[in-house]
Amino acid sequence: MCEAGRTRDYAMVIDLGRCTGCWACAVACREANGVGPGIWWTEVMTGEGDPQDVPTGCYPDLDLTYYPVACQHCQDPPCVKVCPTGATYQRPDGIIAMDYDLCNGCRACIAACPYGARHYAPPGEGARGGGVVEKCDFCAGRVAEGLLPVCVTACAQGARVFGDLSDPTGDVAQLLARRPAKRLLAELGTGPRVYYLLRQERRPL
Amino acid sequence: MADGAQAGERTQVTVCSPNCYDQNCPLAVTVRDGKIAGIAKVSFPDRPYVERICLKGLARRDWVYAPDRLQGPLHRTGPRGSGEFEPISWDEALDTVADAMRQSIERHGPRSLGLLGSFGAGNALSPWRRLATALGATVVLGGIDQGIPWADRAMLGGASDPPYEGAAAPRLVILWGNNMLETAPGMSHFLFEARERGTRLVVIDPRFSPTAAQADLYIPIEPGTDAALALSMAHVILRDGLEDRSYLMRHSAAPLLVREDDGRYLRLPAAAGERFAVFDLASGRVVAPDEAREPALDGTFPFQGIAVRPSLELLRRRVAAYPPSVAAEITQVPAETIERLAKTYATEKPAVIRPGYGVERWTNGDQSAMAIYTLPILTGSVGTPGGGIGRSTSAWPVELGPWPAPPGEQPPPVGHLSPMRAMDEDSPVRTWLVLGNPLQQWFPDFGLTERVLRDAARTDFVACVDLFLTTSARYADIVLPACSFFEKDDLLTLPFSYLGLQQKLIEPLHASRSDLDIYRAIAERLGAGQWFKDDAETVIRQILAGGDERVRRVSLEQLRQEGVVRLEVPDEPPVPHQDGVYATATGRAQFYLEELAPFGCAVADYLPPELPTSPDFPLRLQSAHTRFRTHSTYANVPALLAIDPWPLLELSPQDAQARGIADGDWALVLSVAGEAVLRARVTPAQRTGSVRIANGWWLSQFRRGSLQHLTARHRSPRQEAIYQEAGRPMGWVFGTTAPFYEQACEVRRLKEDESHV
Repeated sequence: MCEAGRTRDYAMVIDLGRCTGCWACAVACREANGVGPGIWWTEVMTGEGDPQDVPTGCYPDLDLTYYPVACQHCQDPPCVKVCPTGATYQRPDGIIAMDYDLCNGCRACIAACPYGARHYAPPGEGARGGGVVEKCDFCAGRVAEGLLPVCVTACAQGARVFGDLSDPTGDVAQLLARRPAKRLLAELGTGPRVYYLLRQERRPL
Repeated sequence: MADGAQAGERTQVTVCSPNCYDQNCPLAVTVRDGKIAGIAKVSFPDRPYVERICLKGLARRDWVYAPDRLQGPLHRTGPRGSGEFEPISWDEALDTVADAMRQSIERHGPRSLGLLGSFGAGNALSPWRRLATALGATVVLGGIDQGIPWADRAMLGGASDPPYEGAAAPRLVILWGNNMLETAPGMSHFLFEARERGTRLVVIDPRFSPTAAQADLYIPIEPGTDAALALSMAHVILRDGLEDRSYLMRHSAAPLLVREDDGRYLRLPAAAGERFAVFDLASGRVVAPDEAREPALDGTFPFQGIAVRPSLELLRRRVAAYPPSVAAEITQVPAETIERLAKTYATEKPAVIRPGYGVERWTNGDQSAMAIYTLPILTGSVGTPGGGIGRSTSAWPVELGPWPAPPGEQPPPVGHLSPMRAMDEDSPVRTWLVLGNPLQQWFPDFGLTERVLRDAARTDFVACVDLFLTTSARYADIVLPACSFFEKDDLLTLPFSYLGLQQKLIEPLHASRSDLDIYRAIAERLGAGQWFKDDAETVIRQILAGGDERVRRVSLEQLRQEGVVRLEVPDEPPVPHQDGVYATATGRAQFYLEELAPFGCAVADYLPPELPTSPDFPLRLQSAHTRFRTHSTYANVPALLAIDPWPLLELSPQDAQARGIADGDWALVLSVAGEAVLRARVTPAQRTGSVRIANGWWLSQFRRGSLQHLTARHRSPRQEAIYQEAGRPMGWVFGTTAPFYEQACEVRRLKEDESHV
């Protein structure tokens, strides 16, 4: 890993050419983070919000691309700006974290987040006891132990890569240097830390 | 693996076993206070390619603790199938089952007992099969998806499946009726890695599946016409001289002469037995293969008053009927695409074909399998690193030992009956003991199944062993609650040469018992307790001790500790048939099967789907597996229902518009067999003219009917004749298949209030 003391800049790269929309990341996240029913910290969108598994185009010239979506860990996070209690905050390493003890469940952040990445857990539901707004924290606890976020390890296709963007030799920086990528709703200026590698061209026979 | 472990918590490795595309993923299970607290992927730092898990395995906690887990044994109080049950004690339940079985044996003989068990519910131990053996009962199993395994055995001698791991990478991968990126996600990374190194991926499928979405070339095909495409590819290969004549001469039966009079291979008398014969162009004589300098691959030759031909000549004659222009009419694949596919397949080596179950769920599925398996023989792809053909992952065959029979026991031999025949008028079965949900999954035409099970003149008794009130259990008189594989011990083989122990990690929930305990209790009541004297640990030790050399080196203690253990095999997997050994009737790779000559299909042929031709049913119905269920397992798991909540009838925008159906409407699906009501999903993934219902949903999850109420049970006269002639009770020997995808239907829109009727 990186030398001690250096501030990390965590980011995730998702390869749209490898994601088959299987939802293993979502179920693994739910399992590891004790997420209650009806909520996904990360979920899988078909296309840009199409019905599940429905491709675009006309048979047989179709496109079926899946976008796993979770908290985008924005550089300029709208959720943090509207939080009245300071429950949600940006860490120096870029992770948008939650202090669930401070969250009063007002849900202003849900309205502010353009990615639909924040979810209200009703009282009694989930590992945090409910009554709070929950979201992905890049598995900060695991990352602190030198592990990868659970959605990354669960992905059988190897579609998700996590690491320190400021390390030019790391997988994240290398992939972004090599392959064209996009970020969701980049035009809003939120500066998402989740990058989607574009699918590579088909090479017909 | 055990990261973040807290006091009072342990993490152990066990193995998931839902009978999905042979994945059997290792699971890291965290147990806290006697409950499963979490399930995660197991890491294999030395062999990262082994790592795999899917959304279903990750959701197993929801499955174990599902709110509809059976709370205890049940006995039926309403009519069979009504779903009306009352609780009953274990002793009463077991006595009732044993009494019914005893009466059946006394009145109708032991073959009147039909025992069947799904693979999702039982593994190496399979106590249900042991009870069938002990009693000489009828085992109802097999004969519904045997096209590809049979083609592999008959044509290549079996165990041909090319490994995914290892150094050899194909340059071309053809997934044929195979949606493996969705249904075998653990193997998908091999394909992505190969593609990033330049491998091209071709997907042949009527439906634009998530796998088709990743293809370099997606070839949509008219359902059920795969044999015509394969034979046309063979046409192009032979027309253009792209066949591998060296391989064909050395390793295949292509030069072996076939007699015109009876269609058998010509045999020459030899000192010991007989020898096959070739025509030696050098000497102009018919000689044994090892005596020929230049064996002929083409032509017709006279021999002792009969005409004889190399079997390649017979293939050449067959495929003459399938030029791309003709195959294009049948398959709706453009002739130009067929040409390109054939030429690329024959020249861009190594090329591997991975055929899926999609090509064989037809009455003539054996012919499709045979036609496809002809291709790698023609091009010499079999036996080459990175080439070959197969759908499985088992490069190293593993032989477990037997669960030995008690000394001195000689029960009457078991009967074998395919589910395709078990509801026939002449079926011997009158009393059913079912493990899991095969009555829904293995038997097309559920209406017939239902009628037979409800007919007192045909059915005396039904018992079902399962975790939930599945469709099969719903038709039982007594339901016996089984525990899950987290609550008992069992043994499994895994891909990449691992053995795995399914470990008892928690106590059986509610009043459930292991299948071993349940079948033992029944056996004891029937005087067959001596077959079940040993506990699971003892049996597993016996199976290990009786296995092959590598298996014998693995101990139960090691398995208990590590969960999964790699057998001592080299890192580089073997290339099947690279040694030139083919355990077939000719000892060579053969596309000509002489035993099928009387039935006109010694060389594969395209036989059209046998669909009802009524104008009332203009659409075709197929099903398919998805990532949300494995067969009917997981259909009730809340975490998965949150993603994929209910059965859908998928149809193309054109078919929907013609019927005034919008996405989300209730749809009534009608076939000659029956009907089903479910929601419509309008999707361009679906080929116009064909509709689809995903496999595995339970009867109770449809508004009315079910998928299997629509499917057909017809058998082709050809397969029937082969079955009768061969006289083999299992029907496996000739690749029997069930026509799960071969049905015609019509779809109508229903209003909300009509959907309930």
